[in-house]
Amino acid sequence: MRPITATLALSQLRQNRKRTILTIVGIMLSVAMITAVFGFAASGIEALRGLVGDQHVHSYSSVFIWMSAIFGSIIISASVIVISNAFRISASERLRQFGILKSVGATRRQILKIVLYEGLYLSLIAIPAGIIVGLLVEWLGTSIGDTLLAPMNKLLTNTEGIIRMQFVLNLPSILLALCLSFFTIMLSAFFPARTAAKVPAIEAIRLTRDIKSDKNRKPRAHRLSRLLFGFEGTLAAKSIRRSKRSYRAMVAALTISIVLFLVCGGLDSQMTMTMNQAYMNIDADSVVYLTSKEQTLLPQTDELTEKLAAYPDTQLYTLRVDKRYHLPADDPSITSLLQTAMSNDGMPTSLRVALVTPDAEHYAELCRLADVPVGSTILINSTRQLVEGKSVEFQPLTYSGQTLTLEGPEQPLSLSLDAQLTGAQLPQEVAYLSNYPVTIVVADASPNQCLWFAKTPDSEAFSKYAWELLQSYVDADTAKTGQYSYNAEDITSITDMTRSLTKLITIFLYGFVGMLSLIGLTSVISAISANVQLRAREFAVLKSVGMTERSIRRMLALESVMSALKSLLYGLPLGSAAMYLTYTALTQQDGFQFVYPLSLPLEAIAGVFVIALITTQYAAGKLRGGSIIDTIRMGDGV
Amino acid sequence: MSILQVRELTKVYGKDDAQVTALDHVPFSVEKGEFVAIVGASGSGKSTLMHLIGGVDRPTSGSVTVDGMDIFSLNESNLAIFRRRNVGLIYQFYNLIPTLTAEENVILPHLLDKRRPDPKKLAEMLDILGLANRKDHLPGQLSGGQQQRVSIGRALINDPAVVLADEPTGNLDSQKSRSIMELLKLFNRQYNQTLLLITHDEKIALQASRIITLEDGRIKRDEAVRA
Repeated sequence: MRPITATLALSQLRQNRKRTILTIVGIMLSVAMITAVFGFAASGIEALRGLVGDQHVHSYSSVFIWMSAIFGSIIISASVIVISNAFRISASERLRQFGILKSVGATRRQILKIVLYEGLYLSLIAIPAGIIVGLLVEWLGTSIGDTLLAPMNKLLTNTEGIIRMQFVLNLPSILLALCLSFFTIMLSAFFPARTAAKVPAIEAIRLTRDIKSDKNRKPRAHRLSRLLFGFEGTLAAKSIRRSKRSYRAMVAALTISIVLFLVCGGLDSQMTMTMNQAYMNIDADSVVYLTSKEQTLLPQTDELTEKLAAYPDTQLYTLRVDKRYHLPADDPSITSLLQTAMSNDGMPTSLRVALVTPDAEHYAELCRLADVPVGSTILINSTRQLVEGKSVEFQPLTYSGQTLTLEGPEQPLSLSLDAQLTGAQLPQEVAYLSNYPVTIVVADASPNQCLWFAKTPDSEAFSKYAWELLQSYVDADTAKTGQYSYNAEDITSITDMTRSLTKLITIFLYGFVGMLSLIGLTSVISAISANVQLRAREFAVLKSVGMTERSIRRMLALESVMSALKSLLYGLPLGSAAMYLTYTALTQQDGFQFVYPLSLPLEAIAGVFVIALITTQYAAGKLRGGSIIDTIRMGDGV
Repeated sequence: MSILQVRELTKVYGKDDAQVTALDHVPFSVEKGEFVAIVGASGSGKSTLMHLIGGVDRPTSGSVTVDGMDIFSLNESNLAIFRRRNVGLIYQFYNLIPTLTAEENVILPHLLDKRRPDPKKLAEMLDILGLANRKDHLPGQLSGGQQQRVSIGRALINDPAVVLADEPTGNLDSQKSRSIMELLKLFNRQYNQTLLLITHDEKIALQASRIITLEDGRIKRDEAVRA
């Protein structure tokens, strides 16, 4: 025989079918998200295993576990707010019913059990459904992810592993999601249940709880709401103030969504900018380099340059770099910022210097830019170094047309500087060398590194061609093998890869926010509709004194709008602050300023109002029917 | 010994200036099988008295003894259990559980006790109530009179020591009122059921065997009705 508490819970769920379904959807989404997050973590770990092998995977997997823990706890806390709101509404609607049960002899424990049974029955349907949906989401996500990762795999083919995102049916993570979800639901049900069970029978029958809170704090409406929205506005503001808790949960759900939306949106735009900065600023399709590991100079590289330039439709920017020289750390022209940056490395006695010679055409261009004749020595007065943990671009030397004395492999080298070029003036190819503290353009450097920036229509084919060319060049002389490193980076593909990675992360972030918002939406709808039902009598009284249905609708709409405004009032500043905080926490560079993505709050505002509109429509639909007198008379009956 | 003893029952609502004394040292006792009507104007303390005897509210001072048990000496759960076994409450607005069928509402005190009622007795009860062919209906599908019959059944199913009815006919037309009163009288006579009926309707009160008149929280009159 089923206990009466279970019967009551079940019949309640059956009777209030619409809200039951809504609650199930809410719980299901929460469970789905928890399942999906754990599933993605498992897939991520598997993907890493494919890339770095079994031995090393453990050192990386903690990242995934931590990330899923963070995302999981956000989901769980949002779910607790939303689900417990659903239970709270359902319990407070039936406060009177609980009072009747108590007067018939139900104990507190029995009342508590009724609500907990509801949680149990909802879990029985919602958790399995949620896990299935979560696995579907995971499958979909990993499929999309795998497709987007394809360009990356193309690049990785000449190294050891490949990275693949695969759907992993990880039993422990499913079990964990199941337990956590059940725990979340029961926790969400417990607190409203305890509150409902505590209300004395007499108060529950008379429903004096609400009236009491009315006495303590007379709801006051701002003059503003009256001014803006008229009489309906005043009523709306008052009822929001009175039923603070229903609206608080709704405002909380919306606020969390806004904050997450802004943070994720901020992360996304910041990431896109970083990626753009890292790769797309190099206006080249392929970067080829050949470096001598020792101090030895490269033999003639002109032949290589010619062969590279001979590739069809290809333009080259060639840099020959001599990295053998150093500037003594006590040189008077070193700026204090550079000194600070150097002190990070425990005060070296000398600074690395790059002597650079571009190809003739581009050298002439640089000289023209610096306004000096061809053959001049030009100081590239710009470097990017870590200063107090941040990557900062600054001028390393004070330029005064001085002569620098450099320490070299053999005897010191005196360079008389003819001109300087600073940050903004530099062609990007030269700026590429900005990790050197001191860079000087000279007329004819003897290189131990050579860089070629290529613009070519088919970057993949060119990179392959260049790589094979360098390989044959190095392999031609066995003495050179091992002394040289070389590569041909297919920048276009890397850019593609970063783009698809960015897209991938964007999809996941917005998917996450979207699902959380959906959970919030279910809560908002159930809050509003429960409110309309609870206030049926109030509406009837308003109608009986001559308020039209349209006015009541207007009042309801205004209640939604006011809640929306309130959540924006909290959500926008909080979200913006959180966005800035994640920016400062994650960024290492100050190369680009924190730009507030203005479109995001606008999108948030639009979204919140769309939600408000939907809920109002929904609530208005609930209004229809019921004669005034019946509602007034039976308002406190059952 | 009396089945119900009310001693110096006092209930004060509110604090300080807003204090209202709803009941002021009310004493009376009721013998088994008595049918007592409690009458009084609105605000005289009738409903407060009923809630206190029914054990759903606690008094400021005084005691209520039902079938030899001082009900306010019990803790909340034990009081709830005592209530489900020894007290039947009938309200003006029926107060049924909307999600349970008529039959389930009737046997609710049993169900809360994790017991099933004797099927023969239940069938008899439903028959007397005239609900035999409505037992699977939800309250929303029943008329006001039928709903009130369900609530009478719920109050009586446990053979309680006392049945308390608060304006049981207040929400019904005169014909339905009459049939409800007949039903209550039937239980009173046939099953020797002790009955306390709260009303402001003199005609209804006159059907009882004794009338207690409350005024401003005190007993103004307590007299037997000459049949």
